[in-house]
Amino acid sequence: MGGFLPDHHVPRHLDRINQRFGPDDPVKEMAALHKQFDLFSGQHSLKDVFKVLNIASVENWAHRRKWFDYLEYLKGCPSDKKGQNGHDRILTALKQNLESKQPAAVHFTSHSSSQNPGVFVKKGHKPLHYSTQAYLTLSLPMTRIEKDRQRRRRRSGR
Amino acid sequence: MPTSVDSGRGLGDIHATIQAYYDQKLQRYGATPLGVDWTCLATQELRFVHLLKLCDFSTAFSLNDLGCGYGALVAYLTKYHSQAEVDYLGVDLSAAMVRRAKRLHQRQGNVGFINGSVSPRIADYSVASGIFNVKLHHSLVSWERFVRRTLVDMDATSRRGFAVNFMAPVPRGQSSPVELYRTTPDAWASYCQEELGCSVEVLENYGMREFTLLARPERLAYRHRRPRPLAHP
Repeated sequence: MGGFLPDHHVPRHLDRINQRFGPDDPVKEMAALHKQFDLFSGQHSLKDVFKVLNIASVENWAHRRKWFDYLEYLKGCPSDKKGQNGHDRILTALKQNLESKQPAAVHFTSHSSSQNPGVFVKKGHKPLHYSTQAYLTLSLPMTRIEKDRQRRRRRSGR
Repeated sequence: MPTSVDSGRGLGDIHATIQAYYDQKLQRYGATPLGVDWTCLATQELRFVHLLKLCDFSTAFSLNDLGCGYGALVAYLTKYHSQAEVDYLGVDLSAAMVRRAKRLHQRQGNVGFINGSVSPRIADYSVASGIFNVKLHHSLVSWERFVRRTLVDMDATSRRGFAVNFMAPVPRGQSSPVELYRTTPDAWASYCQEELGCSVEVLENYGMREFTLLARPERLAYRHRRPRPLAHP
């Protein structure tokens, strides 16, 4: 994850989000929360919204902070929408979905930033090979820390 | 199904286990929504939105908050109803929660907290958020006795009405932890109407698998003159 979190904590964080945006009750609750508090309207950063939703580690405060740092880092990432950064792309995709008549469950996943450096969104996607459930899929770019270190070393000529 | 008879006796064990449960939560998670067993601030506040539909914010009023925890409702009122004049009293079984609430809100006027199971004063309104949800190991019969007792007390200490929320049943085929108390609106709405003489509004389908009862005394004028005496357990 580019050094923000230890590798083995990344699935846990993605799972935390997916639990809160999952099919049926969770996504209905999220739509209700958005309707009431305008969570994804763009007035608040993802970091602030995820704080209010408590989608972050509660056991390890260093990981919690790093996760929020990663959400901020997405402001500097591109997205599949021209002119929109990864952070804002997530906000607008969630807003549109939660304000639709039938909000779809949302699945957060990751991909290698070496293949695609930006956030991308897929609608009506079935990302789980064991499930027929369609999701709005949001894929977050992540980097192997070793690779990043090598790049850093190459850049600095060491 | 709730019954009308309610002795109020034998709730000591329930109160003690509730207190221990929330003391432990507070110790682990601090004065946060998780510390009072809510997922997050947003869901906690959405419940306040519905409970407070009971209140008329155009005039000053007094409010009892039963199971107040660390006083999250005070922060909510400050954030969303800063113009409203609310004389607030939080009541909680956990002395640790009350201490934390007092510390957090010590600088706010018209705000008080006490340790107990029932409000010592009659206020315009009373609210209770989530206090019936976690029944722990108690039997359904004992828990419903606790619910009845609490509703009777809330009714007796509210001039203009009270509001409570409950978790609704999960769909067939899904399971729910046995420690949770889930019920349908009909049972408790009927209890408040028939036994407490209230008119009841049921709020549901607001994005959560739960419902809120807004209970208002039908004979407001009578209630203003002669508040029903408290029957302590």
